[in-house]
Amino acid sequence: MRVLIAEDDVVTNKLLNRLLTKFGYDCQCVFNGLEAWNAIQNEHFPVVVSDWMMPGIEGVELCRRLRELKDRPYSYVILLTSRDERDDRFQALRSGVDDVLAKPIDLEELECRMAVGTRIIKMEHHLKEQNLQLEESRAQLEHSNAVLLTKQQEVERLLAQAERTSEYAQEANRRFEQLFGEIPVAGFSCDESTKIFEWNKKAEEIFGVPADRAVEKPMRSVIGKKLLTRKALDAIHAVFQGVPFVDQEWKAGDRVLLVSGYPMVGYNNKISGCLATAVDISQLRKIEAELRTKMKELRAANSKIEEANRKLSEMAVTDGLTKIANRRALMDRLAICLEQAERGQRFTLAMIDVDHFKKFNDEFGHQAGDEILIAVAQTLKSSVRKLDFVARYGGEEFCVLFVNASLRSAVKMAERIRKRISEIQNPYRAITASFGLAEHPGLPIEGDQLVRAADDALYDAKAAGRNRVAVRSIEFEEAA
Amino acid sequence: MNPSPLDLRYLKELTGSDERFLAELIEEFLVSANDLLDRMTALLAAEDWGELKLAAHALKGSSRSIGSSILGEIAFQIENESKRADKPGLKSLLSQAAAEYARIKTWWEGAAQSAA
Repeated sequence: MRVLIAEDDVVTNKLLNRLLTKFGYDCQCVFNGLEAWNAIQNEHFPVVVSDWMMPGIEGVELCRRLRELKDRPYSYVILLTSRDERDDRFQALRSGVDDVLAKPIDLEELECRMAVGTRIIKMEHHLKEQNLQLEESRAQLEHSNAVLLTKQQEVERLLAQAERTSEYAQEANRRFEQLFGEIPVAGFSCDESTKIFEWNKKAEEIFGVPADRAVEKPMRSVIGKKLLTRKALDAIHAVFQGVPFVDQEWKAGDRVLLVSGYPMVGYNNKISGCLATAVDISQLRKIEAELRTKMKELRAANSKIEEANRKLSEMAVTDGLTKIANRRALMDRLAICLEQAERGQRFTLAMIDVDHFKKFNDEFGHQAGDEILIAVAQTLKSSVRKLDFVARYGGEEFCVLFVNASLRSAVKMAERIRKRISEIQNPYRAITASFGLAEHPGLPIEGDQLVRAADDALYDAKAAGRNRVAVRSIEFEEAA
Repeated sequence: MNPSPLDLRYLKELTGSDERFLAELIEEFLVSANDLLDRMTALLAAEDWGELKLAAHALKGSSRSIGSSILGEIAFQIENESKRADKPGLKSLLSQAAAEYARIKTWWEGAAQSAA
């Protein structure tokens, strides 16, 4: 252990050096206060043995300066005093000196006091080491604490994350359950062995099986073999090969379900299930069938009505007995011809009357009369040109509109018809007819005027002996 | 032979009966004490009481360390008396100290001769 000996008295200095060296200390000797102060500044001495009264710096001042040095281990300071300086010794002790040793030196006392100093310094050193270790342990503890805190924060963060994730999952699950559960279509899912996983409310309703009796059960045992045919099973199996089926009809009796199945893809991209939807269209089918029947009935009724209508309209323009146009149709056609005449088309109206028809009727009966009328009508029809118009005017009177014909050519055609009528073969006796013709004058006239003119011509033909053709022109008032 | 002016028992204890070291010490003492006495004579003449006191103190310590209680006591008296500035008294004490020093020196030289 290093000891600084500061003593201006050469004898004492030497003695101390020798003794302390003998005790095992490593001594440095200086002979005044300044030298001592320099030595202390250069090196730490665990023990300083210093004289009080020294030139330069005195022992107590040296000690004071020593104590002011920072970041130094403790130095044990023994101050040498005279035996007769009792009060000074206490002052020294009070001002930071650790021990005082009286001069002249007592060997045993010196040894003991040095031992005390050494013990204290060693203790101090030991304490310092313990402190250092403590400090180190504290630092380690602090570090561990910091690490622990970080880990704890990490754990808390992970926990919070997990909680959030779990909340998301719960929320997603809630949404799925609401969506799947409340959707107005039966929804259910199964694995490849058709074991049911999910079964929503509408499925419970459509199949009439509550979820707790459907889930985890094979589909056939839940919905029955009738509904789940071989074909349906094949379709479900195909879903697991990635082939969906859409709107397949599953039938049992009156019940018809429209079922679709889609693959459900799991987390590993493998098809983990078949999601199926079913809609009960039994009611729809029933209504469809009823509708079809109703439609058929309606169509039948319609065609009857159409037929009736057709007959009605035929009746309106056709003469019931002779099947040629009636008087009404004639008047419609005449009106058209009058319009066309105003644009320059010529036409001639012929009034034809069967001669002595009343007599014929009286003689052979109405049946025969009707036969004659039919024969005359057919003769008329077959004798005129396509563009001409034949009608029954009433009774035994007929009309022909010779369209786009002059009076002359109309007369020719009338003559030919007259001849044909007289040639009609019948089981009773030959008949004849009289013709009265009037040509449209090319001036605006009323239809009645033309009819009257033709009628007058017919009268003329009758008066002249019947079975002939007579002609009249429209007589305009003198004023016109 | 005159009785020893130094406490030889004490000295032997301190030096562990190392005659050579003891001799060295005594020689050192004689030189430094002589210097101090010369200085003290000059300081007394100059009436520098403060410095005289310090020198006396030094002589006191040195003398006691070498086991000379008489010289130590005289030096102690000079140390004490120097505050009173009693020049004649101090002069007398200083000559007593010189006498005692001379006695020690004579004794030592005699001892050395007999040893040789």
